[in-house]
Amino acid sequence: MTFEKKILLEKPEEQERSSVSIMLRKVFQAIKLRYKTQFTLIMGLVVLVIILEILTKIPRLSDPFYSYKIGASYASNLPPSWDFWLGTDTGSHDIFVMILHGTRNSIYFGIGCALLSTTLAILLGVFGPFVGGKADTLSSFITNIFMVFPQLPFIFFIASLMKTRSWVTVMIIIGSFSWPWAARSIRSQVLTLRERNFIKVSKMSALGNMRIAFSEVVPNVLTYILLVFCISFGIGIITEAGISMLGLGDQGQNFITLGFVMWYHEPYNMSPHYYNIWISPGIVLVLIYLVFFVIQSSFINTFNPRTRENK
Amino acid sequence: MAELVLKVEDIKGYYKGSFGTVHAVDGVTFDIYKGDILAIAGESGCGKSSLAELLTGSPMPMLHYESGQVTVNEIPIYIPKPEDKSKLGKWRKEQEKLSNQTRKDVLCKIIGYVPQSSQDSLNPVKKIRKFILDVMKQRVGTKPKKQIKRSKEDIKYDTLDGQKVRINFKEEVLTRVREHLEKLGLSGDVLGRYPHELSGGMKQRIVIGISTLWNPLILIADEPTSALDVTTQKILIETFMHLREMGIVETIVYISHDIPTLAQICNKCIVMYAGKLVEFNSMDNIIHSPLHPYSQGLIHSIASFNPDGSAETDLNSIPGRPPNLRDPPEGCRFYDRCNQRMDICKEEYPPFFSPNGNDSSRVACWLYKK
Repeated sequence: MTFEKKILLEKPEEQERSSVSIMLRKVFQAIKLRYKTQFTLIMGLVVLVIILEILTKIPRLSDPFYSYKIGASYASNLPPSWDFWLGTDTGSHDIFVMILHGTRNSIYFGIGCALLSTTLAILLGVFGPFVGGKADTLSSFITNIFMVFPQLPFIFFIASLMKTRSWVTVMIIIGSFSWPWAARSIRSQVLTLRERNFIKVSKMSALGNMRIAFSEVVPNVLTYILLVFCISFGIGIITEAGISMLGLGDQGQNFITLGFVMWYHEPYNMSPHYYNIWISPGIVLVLIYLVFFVIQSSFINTFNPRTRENK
Repeated sequence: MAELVLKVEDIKGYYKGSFGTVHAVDGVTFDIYKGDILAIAGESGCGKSSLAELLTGSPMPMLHYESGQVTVNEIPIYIPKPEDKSKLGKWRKEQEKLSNQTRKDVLCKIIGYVPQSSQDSLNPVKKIRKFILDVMKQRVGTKPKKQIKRSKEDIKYDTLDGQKVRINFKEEVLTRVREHLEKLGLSGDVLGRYPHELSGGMKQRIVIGISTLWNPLILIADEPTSALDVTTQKILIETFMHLREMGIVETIVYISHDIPTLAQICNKCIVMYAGKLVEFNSMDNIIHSPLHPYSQGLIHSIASFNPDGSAETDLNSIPGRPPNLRDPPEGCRFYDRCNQRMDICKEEYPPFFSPNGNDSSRVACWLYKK
């Protein structure tokens, strides 16, 4: 009797536990089955969002120069230790905290740049060939002009002309100069797609140029457009780092980017632990680039039905 | 006398572009009666496909309507071009309006058109279902927004596959489409597939299925078997015959350069040469007693075999090349390659003669002048 009672007592508890775990597993499997083609991409994006979320939780930007000077243990030019993971600089700032801020801001900066330049590339690369005639000539003319333009010197030129530079203006400058190669290659893909039979048939049934461009052509080059987005993102971050390193970035000192970290410590390279300051932002830059490369390589499975693995 | 469904009067369509003006279709006249299966035969580049595009009322880019008239089921689909050049702009607008109207009223519902190399006519990144719904939107004229809303006032009815369907309701439409495709020997789950997951013959049948959704009076098939192997060709030909038996389409215009295939299914035949119609005859006559020297040459250049494997006749190809259609000659266009040419052939293009005395066989050749 006691034995039975025991079983009766234990059973519901066990059932509950197991049913919850089974349910969770089932939900996970259902998600995996439903989004099997997009799984890598979704996981990559989720990790990216989590990282950004954590980075945002760090105290506000204006803080690191002042509130991270921690009491008694504070000193300048400290070597890496448990208190200061990457040491401190001549101005007694915690380098690790500066890099955290720099990473987050650089990612935001890169996304802004990529959005701007991808939009421009789509506008000039897809619509030009589709509207045809003068619009095509004009769009390829503009693209060619920007293509032969010495971009980096021009960015330096504009940046040095401006009296006050906020990070938004720097972003706009970089974003509006990093699209021509993308527009050219999108245009070439669109030119081949334009001659395919299914586009001809949709032209024959009198769909508008814009509608063909959006509903027939863009889905075909979507993989490439997202690749362009990722590459522009990388270009944005690196160019900004270069500009900031030369001291032509945001002047407010409220917007620390990875390039800013490198630039800020350039006058103080007397520090014996100087390698911490320039190697660590570099490593972070490479890591960001790698993460976006992984995300980008999963696009091909997600958006191109022909290369999807169907298992 | 059977009912006249398609009347083509002296239709002309030119390709215009940086390459000059190509006289692809240069005055073609013929009639199609209900129940006919008409073959359009000829060499590559003789204007077969261009003629088919002109018949649909909305030719592909670069091909432009020049003159003549096509009357489908007593509906004219072209406005004659005015002589006065200042009125051309107004004419173009009116023609555009008429073409849009034609696309709604005539295409798919009266004329079904299977485009050339129709395997590539499906967008590779769209599922078949999406493609069909797009065609539906275009033909029925319901704006996509309204379709999503599905408000009760906007319910539209249409006849799909011979049955009344509420066109706003996606599920109802798709059920009807699935049934229709099953009639053509396709399983219903093709709707959820991408074009690259299907074989060439299946894609071809899907396109045929889409163009026959509204049970059109005429089906224009532009080289549907050109890129397929013999077995698949046979299945497709059976599909066409099946469509006819079930009463989905009664009249078919079948364009091909493959005369053995044409001989199997067609009862009337048009032979085209360099943008002109050279012979209009019954299929049997074209095979056994062709009238025009070009048709004779065409029939003699078919490779055929006896059951024991030996070649039946010596292969005779037609010497020479077709004329340059950018600057077509004044007289008979076959003059340079003809083995029975006369002096008059070089000077004047021959009118139609009926050597048998009735209108069912016509030939454009001076040899038959009485």
